[in-house]
Amino acid sequence: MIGSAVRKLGDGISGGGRFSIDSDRITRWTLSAFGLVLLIAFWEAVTTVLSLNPKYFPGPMGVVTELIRIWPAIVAALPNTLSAALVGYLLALTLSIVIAIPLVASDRLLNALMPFIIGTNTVPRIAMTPLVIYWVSFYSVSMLYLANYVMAVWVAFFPMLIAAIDGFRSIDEDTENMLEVYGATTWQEFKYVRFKNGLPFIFDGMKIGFVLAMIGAVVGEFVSGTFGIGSQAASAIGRTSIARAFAIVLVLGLISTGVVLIVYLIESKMIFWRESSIMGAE
Amino acid sequence: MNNKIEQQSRTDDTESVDYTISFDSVDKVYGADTVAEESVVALEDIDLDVERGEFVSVVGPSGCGKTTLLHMAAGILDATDGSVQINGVDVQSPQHERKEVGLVFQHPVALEWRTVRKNIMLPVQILTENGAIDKDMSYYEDRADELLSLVGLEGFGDSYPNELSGGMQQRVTISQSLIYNPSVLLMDEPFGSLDAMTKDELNLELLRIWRETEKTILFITHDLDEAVFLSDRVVVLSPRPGEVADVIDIDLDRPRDEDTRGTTRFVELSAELHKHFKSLQ
Amino acid sequence: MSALSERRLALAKRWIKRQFPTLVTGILFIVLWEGIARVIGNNRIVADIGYTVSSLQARADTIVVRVSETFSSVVVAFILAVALGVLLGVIIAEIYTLRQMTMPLIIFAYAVPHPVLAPMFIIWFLVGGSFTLFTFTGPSAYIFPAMTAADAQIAIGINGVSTFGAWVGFFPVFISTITGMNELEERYQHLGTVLGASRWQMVKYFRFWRALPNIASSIKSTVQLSIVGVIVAEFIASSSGIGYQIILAWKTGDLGYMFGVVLVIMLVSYTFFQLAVWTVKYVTPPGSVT
Repeated sequence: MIGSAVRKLGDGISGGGRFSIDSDRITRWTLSAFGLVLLIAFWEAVTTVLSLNPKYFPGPMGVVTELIRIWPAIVAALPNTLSAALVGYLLALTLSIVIAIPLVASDRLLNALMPFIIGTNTVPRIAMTPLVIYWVSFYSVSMLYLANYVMAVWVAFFPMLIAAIDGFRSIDEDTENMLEVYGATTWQEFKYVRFKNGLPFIFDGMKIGFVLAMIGAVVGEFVSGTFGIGSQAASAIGRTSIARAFAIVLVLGLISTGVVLIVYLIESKMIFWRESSIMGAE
Repeated sequence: MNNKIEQQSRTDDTESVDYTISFDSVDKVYGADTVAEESVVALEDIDLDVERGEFVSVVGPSGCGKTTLLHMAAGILDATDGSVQINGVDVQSPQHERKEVGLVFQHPVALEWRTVRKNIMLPVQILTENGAIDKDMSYYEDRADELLSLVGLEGFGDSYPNELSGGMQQRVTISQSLIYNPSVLLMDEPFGSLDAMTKDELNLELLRIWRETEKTILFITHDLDEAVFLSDRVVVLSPRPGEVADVIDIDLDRPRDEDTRGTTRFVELSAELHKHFKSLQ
Repeated sequence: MSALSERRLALAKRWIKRQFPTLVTGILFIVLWEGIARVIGNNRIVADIGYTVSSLQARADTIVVRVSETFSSVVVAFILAVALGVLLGVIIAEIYTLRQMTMPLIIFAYAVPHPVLAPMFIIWFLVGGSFTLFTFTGPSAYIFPAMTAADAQIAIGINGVSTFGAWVGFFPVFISTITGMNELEERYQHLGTVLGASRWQMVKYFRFWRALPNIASSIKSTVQLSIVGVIVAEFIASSSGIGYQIILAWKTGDLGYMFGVVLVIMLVSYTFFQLAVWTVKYVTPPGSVT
């Protein structure tokens, strides 16, 4: 369901150029770089010319200065947030695939559980954050950071599960009939067709899944105040320091973009039979 | 056609004619077992026997249950009433041998991530793992090479399906259904989505393959001329519910070639079939 | 029985059949919840249904006020997200050069975990002040006779919470507008050329309509994400809304209330989602929403 919302951005964004094919790629990169430079120059110019209050409307230089100033703090906080996000992400990914297999193998199980899965995916799972923190703190206050791991799994799991289910199920009727004629067992169906067929869906889920795991971890830190990037970002509100908030956005955004790009590159290598897109399903 | 004669004499010996595909008063009702949905009678009282080595086509208006008929022969669908047998064994019984049946669909079912050769080998892998066939892998690998040249795909064994045209992909699917040497080939409008020229070309090739491999073929199509050109017999189904309205013997000489379509007899038979077809509506 | 009523009966039967799994899931959930609560037998670890309901009843007025607040923000966020998403999507899809120039920014904005941006929105509106478009007397004034109209007043406004919700919900619409507009089949492009259609006419008569099914289906994500954005912003920023109520319940260790509020959020969100999807289905051509 969600998987169909945003699929092939690559089609939409990279296609339809009015430039010759060989120079197309270079032109696009140049334009992107030029756009980035233009944006930064414009931003700096506006803040300087209008002499805006650097506390609330910092220029790019102001953000960089603040980033350098708080760099040690960020480096100290980053491992906590990243390990929560990464471990949560990998756990959610593994679970999503392991659970999707029996669900797709048994129609009865799928029919029984699908309303629950769709329902849980529809509601704002992030609203559970304080509840999860409460439970973890009940268990052990000194291990409050575990709540961030739980939130990362809880937020990232369902979209990835739905992606995996959609992927494993997306075989056409002819192929299904063919497998039936050969008398393929359920396991053979997965081995020869469903796993490979589901890969593009799973990769789409993986791209959005990492961003979601990060969201879970960061919001966990927002609320619980455990040491990490999330609590650092929240502290910017107390100081009303936009430069600080911006610097943190920059760091976290670059990390996320990096991971999404890595997933995309692996996807393009593995799925040679169709084109991949950077932005998967939302 | 020495082989045909030999087979004929063999069947005479055993007294009863051995039908390779046999529908015995078969009914198919959709939705018969659900409560809320209305049930639809797709096929009613189908009696149809196809002899060994025979080429039989089934034609009928869309929605007459042609594909349902084929899927029952393939064991994909269960008959509501009556029995469907392949080589004298009920297709739904455990004694039914899957290696006896090959199925070719309207659209190629080549898996995008497998090379042409690996796609052709897919049924062998599955059937071997399940103990349904027991010859060496190398035997089938050689056979795959033979099939590639039989269907005119030499040199494309290591290509991927996406690199081939629709007609070539359909040749892959045909090879795939022939790799384990089934005695029966079920074909569901296999050339329906191809352009007229490719279709004519593949028609000729199918006849050549049929001649060389001596398969029994049940062929579904909505193209009446195609049915006349290929078949020994053409079965006409009436729509809703699907019933055998007519069976027409095609007494055109074999082997048939490009010129067959120009003969008077072909034109007569085609006209007759068109007339039958029109009377159904 | 007439054919028409027979058909209606069949349709009703089918509807019931289709809703059946959801109903069973709901009942199962309630049974499971109560079962676990009974086994643990401690309302400080898992609040049972009775305790949760009584906690909810005790503060029903607050909850209705806060939920109304939150979902007024969600509505503003949702409308802003869809309007801006379609508008910017059309512009970016039309102008190739601009699309390529903003590409790195778009990818960055897509990948950044939105919540870290929430503080910026909140600080800006803290400093610049927020705009109230209009106010009205909320439903709580009618439900609870004791409540004054002033207490029940709800403001529809553009503030840190609603703009952040809009930002989070914006992306699916934006991206599917671009994707959909660029998926226009070549034959329509040729038809436009033959007719001598201007660029604006191409958008108005073809490209926008081609994108509509994509936009309509992306709205599902936008509804969910707007709600998420608003609740996250309420977590960290405001002292209003239902999001803050969960935080409050957590800080005071009131598990019954926390359970109740989370449940209410889930239920209202689900209803809101179904309502929004139904509305989109109703206003778009048939077949746009699957």
